[in-house]
Amino acid sequence: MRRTLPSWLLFALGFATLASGSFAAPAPRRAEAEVDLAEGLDALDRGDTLAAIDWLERAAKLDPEKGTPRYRQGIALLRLGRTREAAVEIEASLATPQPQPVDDRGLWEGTVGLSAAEDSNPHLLSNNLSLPAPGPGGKVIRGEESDALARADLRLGIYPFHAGEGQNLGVTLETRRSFLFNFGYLDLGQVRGAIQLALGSDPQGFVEGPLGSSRISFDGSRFTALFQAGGAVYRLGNDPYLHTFDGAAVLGVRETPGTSTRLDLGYSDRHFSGGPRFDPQRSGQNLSLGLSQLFYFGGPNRTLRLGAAGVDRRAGSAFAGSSLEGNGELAWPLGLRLSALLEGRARRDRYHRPESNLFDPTGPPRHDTTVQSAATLVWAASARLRWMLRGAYTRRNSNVDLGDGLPDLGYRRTVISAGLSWEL
Amino acid sequence: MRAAAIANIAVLGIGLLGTGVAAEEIGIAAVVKPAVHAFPPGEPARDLAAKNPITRGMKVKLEGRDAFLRVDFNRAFGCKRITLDGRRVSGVLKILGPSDAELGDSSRSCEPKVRFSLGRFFLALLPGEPPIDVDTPEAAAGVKGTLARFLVDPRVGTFVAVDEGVVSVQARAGGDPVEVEAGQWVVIPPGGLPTRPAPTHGLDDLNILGDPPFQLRDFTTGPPRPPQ
Repeated sequence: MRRTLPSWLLFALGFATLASGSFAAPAPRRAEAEVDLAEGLDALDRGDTLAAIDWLERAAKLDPEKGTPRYRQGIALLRLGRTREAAVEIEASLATPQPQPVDDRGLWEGTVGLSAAEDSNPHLLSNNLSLPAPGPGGKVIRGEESDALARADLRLGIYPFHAGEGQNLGVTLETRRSFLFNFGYLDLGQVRGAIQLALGSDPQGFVEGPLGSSRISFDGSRFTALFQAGGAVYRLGNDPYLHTFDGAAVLGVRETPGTSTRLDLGYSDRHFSGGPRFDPQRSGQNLSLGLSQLFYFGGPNRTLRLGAAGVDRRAGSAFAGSSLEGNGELAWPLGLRLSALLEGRARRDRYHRPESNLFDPTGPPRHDTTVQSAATLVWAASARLRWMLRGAYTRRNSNVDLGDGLPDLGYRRTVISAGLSWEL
Repeated sequence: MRAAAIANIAVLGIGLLGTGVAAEEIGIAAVVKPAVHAFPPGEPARDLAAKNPITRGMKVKLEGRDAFLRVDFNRAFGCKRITLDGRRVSGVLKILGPSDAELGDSSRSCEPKVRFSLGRFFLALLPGEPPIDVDTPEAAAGVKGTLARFLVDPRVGTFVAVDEGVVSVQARAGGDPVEVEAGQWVVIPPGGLPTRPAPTHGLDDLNILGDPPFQLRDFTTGPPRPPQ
């Protein structure tokens, strides 16, 4: 039997075909959408938010499958305070087949470092001073005695919500240990752990804080914030030396494409070990406040930072005091893979009580002036391997001397080091 | 009077000479992550920063898995300076991961040309703009008003996928040029001829820009042939 399709079915199929042609979504014009997205992002960078919204809207219409234009449009609307419209756009961007790509650098990151150094004055003593070395044997240490040392560093960062948008919550662990050839009792070991929450974005993808650096989204938001909480344990030689509980907040505002201001707040509860070598009277709380201005010269890796910082130190009567510091830092690429970092700071420490004048309790309270400068040359041999050569000079002057004919607590110190770091 | 005229001509000549040797800006580095080495013609090499100008003939080298560069080409790249649509950008090039490329030919002004030596590239060019010539070790391609993806790898050869517009591919090993249309891809193996254009649907699962499609080596049927 021959089967035929009923005429009404043919009619319906024909209509459906026609309808699909008439009402189908227009083909995306993705090349134009890419260009309009670039125009929109450029306008956003220039601060022309209205133009940015216009371009991004056009890009979204040209390629509705892509979420990035609507996501960025939402960010632009947020800048104008149009929060409801912003929420609609951002939500819609997440529903597109190709949502805004997530800045995902994986669950963890790590760095190992090795360096060798020559330290002209590991004891931080005046050149003319000789003191008995700690421990038995009656050995004498002299201020001008230098030593060579090796240092190993390991830094790990774990970011459990690495695939998410916006804030970066992470846990960081840093450990380092130095090994001196002659003065093993000065070997410094340190372990620091911190929980960090970074908000906003930065072109370099990380932000520095008093408790170390943290991952932050790649971009250039106007506001950034970093909150840190953690603790550290230090050992000197084989003995426990110090442990701290710390908290810090860093707030950054990028006023113009070429400048940004940074505010650092820090709190540290410090507990020094007792024993013959260490004075538990040093224990107490440090409260610090810093303000910096950064200038960008054509890129995030070409910067000048000028800053001031103050610390209020609560401790035993011989160590309570405050300090004021002025500091600066210049980072400058020198050419292919080579960059230089110049640092300088001058700090004035004022102790509150006469007991701080360790050898004359009836004398004036102690005050020190410390000047530090350092120059570092970094060669990025590859994306993961960096070589470093650094020279640092420190000079401290103090009004406290050790008695008639003896030098004061001032010292000079030069450290020349060379090393490498490897990103895991 | 005559001396003044000679002086004016000399100044004009120096000015024209200066114009001739000045680096020509063909775009801007819109996004740079985390570091891109730049080799501008006639200038010392340096690290590229976001918002830095891209000059004609500049070579760029990206290192590291997360490296990324987005270049917004301006109208000067193709010397089509008049536009009615208000757009200043004529095309966008994204480079991802370890890559090596040359943007423009410093010896030929007004010739939009790029050379991809290694890496993954995503090129969006406005319809109506002058075609861009893309050179790779295996092929010379002409890109017309197009959205196209390129993968250049010494093990794979050159992979070209076209999402919009047309790309004309001429293998260096010889043979006829192959027109790759929207929705098609070809591979030119090292020293070989292009494969027949095949549909890209299904290929997108490989995420060409996300992961190098080393599986594509399976498509390079047979060993490379000598030039004919």
